[in-house]
Amino acid sequence: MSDSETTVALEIKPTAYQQQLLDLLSSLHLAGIQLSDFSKTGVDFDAVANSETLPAAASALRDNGFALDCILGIDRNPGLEAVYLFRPFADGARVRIRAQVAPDRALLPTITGIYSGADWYEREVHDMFGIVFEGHSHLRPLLLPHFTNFHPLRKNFHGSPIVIPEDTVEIPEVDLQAAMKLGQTDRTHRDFFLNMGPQHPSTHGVLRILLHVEGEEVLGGRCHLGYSHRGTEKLAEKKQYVQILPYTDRMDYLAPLNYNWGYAALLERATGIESTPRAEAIRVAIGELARVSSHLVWLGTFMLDLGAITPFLFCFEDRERILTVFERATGQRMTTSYIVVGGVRNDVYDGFIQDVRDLLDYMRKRLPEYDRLVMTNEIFLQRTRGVGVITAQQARDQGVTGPVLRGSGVDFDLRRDEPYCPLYQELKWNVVVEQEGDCLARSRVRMREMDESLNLIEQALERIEEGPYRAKIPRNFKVNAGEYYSATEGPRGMVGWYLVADGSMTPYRLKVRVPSFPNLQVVESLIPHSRVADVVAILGSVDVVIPEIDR
Amino acid sequence: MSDEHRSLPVMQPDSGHTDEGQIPPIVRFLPLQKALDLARANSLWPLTFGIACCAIEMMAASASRYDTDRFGAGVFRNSPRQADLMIVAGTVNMKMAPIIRRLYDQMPAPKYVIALGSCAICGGPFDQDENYAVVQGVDKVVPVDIFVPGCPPRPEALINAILELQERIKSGQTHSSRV
Amino acid sequence: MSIVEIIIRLIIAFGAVFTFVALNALFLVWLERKVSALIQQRLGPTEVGPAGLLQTLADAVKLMGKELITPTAVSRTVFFLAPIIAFLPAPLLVAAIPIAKGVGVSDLNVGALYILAISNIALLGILMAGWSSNNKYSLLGAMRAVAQNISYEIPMLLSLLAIILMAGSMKFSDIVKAQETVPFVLLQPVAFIIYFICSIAESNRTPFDIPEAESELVAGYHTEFTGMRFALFFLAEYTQVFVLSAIVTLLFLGGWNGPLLPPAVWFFLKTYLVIFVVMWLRWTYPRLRSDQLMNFNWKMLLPAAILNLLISSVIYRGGFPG
Ligand code: SF4
Repeated sequence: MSDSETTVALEIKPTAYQQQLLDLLSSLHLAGIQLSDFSKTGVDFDAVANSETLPAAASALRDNGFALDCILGIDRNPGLEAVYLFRPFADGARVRIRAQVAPDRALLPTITGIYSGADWYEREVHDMFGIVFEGHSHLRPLLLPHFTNFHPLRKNFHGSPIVIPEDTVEIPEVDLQAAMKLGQTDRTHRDFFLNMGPQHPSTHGVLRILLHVEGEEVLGGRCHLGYSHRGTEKLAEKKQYVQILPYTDRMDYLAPLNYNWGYAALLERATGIESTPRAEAIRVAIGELARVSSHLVWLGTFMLDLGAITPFLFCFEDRERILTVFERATGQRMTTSYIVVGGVRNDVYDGFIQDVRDLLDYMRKRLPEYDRLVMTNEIFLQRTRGVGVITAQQARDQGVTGPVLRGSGVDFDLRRDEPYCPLYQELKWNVVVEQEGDCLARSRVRMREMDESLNLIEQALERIEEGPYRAKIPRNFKVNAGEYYSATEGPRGMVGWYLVADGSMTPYRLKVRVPSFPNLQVVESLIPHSRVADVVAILGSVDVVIPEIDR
Repeated sequence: MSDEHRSLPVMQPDSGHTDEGQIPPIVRFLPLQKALDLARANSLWPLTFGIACCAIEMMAASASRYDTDRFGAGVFRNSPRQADLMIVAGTVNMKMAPIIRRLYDQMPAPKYVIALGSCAICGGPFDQDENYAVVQGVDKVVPVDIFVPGCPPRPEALINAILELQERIKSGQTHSSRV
Repeated sequence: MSIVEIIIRLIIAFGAVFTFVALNALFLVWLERKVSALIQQRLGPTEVGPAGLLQTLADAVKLMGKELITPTAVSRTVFFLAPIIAFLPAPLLVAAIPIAKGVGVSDLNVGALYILAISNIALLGILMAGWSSNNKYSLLGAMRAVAQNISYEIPMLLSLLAIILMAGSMKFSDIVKAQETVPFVLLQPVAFIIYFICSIAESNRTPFDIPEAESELVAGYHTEFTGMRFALFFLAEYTQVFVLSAIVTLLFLGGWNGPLLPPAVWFFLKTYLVIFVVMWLRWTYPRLRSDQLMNFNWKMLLPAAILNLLISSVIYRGGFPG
């Protein structure tokens, strides 16, 4: 490609694999191709695209096995920017492509035709920044109410509350038509729309799904989000780094510790502070406990969706035991704010190791019981086998991560593939993968993951050595100007944090890439031609936390 | 369904359900009233309705260890038509507020509301000047009988709130009882 | 019998039946909550009355004192009638069940047939409720209920026929008498299993509770009903559970036959044991999907029931049914 005079500014010597990627990128007419230091920024390659080159670049990356991590917007003031992050599941190499637009003519081509997972991301960016994605079929507000007329994450927006006009509950007519198109049928007298949620027993919070059904068969459906949108990302721009920590608890309240950890890992990457060995061991032990407790809630609520009430109560009872340990160690049952930059907030209490050992013994007895009660139950198998199949390619296009991805046969776990804690490299454990991609496979992955987590906890307990539980951090905590990305493996999948720092004590922009977001999006594409009861089962099996999606 | 009160903020009773004039006279009969209040206090069926983090603690309160069923408040009804108690557990935002109001209107009188957690009380950690999305307290939308502080409140706190609500129902001090 | 006597008898019978229906429902709801608590490592109601026994009374009184909402868009007459029609069969059914020899409101000579015929009236009430509510969940729930009950009726009837074949009568007391030595559950195990499954399906309980599938349809056909109207559905449901279990007892478990204890005690013991098993199932199993439910019925139960009827007619009647 002769006309692409790309500046390949090399600071680091590329490996063969990186060179290959560099060649690929430079063949795509992209500008500003750069190799970046992964350990400092969390990104391997940088490139800048414009409206013309963006779709071609995306489709080339897709052909080379890259999955869409996330799309986010940044208000550069002046000038808006959309940042696309891509990553292949196999060897890690994150590619960041930026596309800049002027605020008064904020137009970009959509890449929904290439990555179906871009759909919601583009809608979110449109919501928050007002960037219009040309060619997007359904560019309606995703998180904000449909009547909002401002873009809250733009820097010139200063929080006037939304005013609700009369008569907002009604479904806008446009939505009906769009939902109908999803069903790919014309409206006959036999079909109707079924509104699930926001108050519905099995939408796991305040999700609303508009289903287009004919009798029991679902022709299509559309998710409506934002009933739990709390503007956390805007708030984060007003808060100091340490003050943001409590908000991370409240995003994913089922596994707050993993979110604390993700945020701490981001700041550690951005500042170069390293946590102490003792803290790392405590983090692994307590973080895996959080994973177990989160999976327990999933199991309980999933079974509730399938109509069995008792497992829910069993799971919650087991979870109570874990929460008791959390409470003693961190001071709170749920909103822990425990894992902080450089270590953990306070040292664990004296009997911690013994308590966790007892818990392990107890859980080791309980898990086989769940296998007997649930996983081998004939009705359970009937309800889940072959229901809601996600293929590996679909998972890649949608950017699905976590147990849902591993249930589709993709062997990818950030704990192993993008290490953010050295212990995960040293301890003995396996990444659980199932091939089928249906609800049953996802359930099996989670059940076996609990086993693995127990093993990890056991080994981590032995590694809790004497020493400081927290590294020294400066009083006025600041992050040097720059852009940082860090991803950790939460119970639901990849929790990515994108930080734009301007050197002050508050972030310039903090974007959280939440795992439930693409995981829920994939549900939308699984809905057509299932049954009403299947919708509930699929939704339960992907395990979403709505406030995490809405933020 | 009341149509005129759907917008925010609304604090009046909805279209006639809780209007004083509409209560059948038989309920004015004092011993019967007392018996009814006693029954109502001891049979609070909550609406299955969780919004955010606090909802998990609400679920924990109904689960084995805390078991609100002991006090007759464990029968979670999914349909607002059959519920007596709305536990607003979580952050209410502008998109959600009209729906909460509608759910409240759909519940049959007498009905009670518990605001669980600081979000439902005042916006909680999201109580910031620049927050464009969060309603600063669910009492702007529906009349609240009991406020439970905490972020999230422990299940014991919710149980305490239910007991407190029972006392108030027995002594006729709720929004729904006309004393 | 003078006219006065008839009237007095009628009043007593009415009184007895309605008291029984009400008390039984109260007790069963309490029992259900206690059984579920037992299974779920909880305590269940404890605070209202001794061991929470008054809990359901409080619930009932509260439901009576609730506002009756008739949503604007419903079909008023049908909406008003639906709970009544759904409830109506409950006392009628209870009336036809003998508790011991000669004890009971009436021991019809077509008892078994009567039960099957009357219990379907409730279905009409459910359909009316779902249709009139102008709520899609209700409608779906009602449609499911009708489809399910009508299909499960067939294997139920067929397995019932096998019993009638053996007893040579449709009168409950004759059927019980025929089991004096061996209860039919041992002679007709297949019919027993089919009948038991079908009666769970008929009473819409887990794993066949798809008509009111909480996690899918909010509350199924009674989503829009408040207060007393909802209570009537509830009452009907629990009476139906009792009736179906009582019939299982009469048909298969030897009714009131049993040593030592008086017959009525045996009858109630067995009936409540069956009810306990039904509850146990409810709190253990997940729920089937509607199409799986239908498949199970048409592909498994129905052929099995037909086969069972054929085989038993060959064995017990030398190949000539009847
Ligand atoms: S009060 Fe705290 S725990 Fe409860 S919903 Fe609000 S943020 Fe979550």
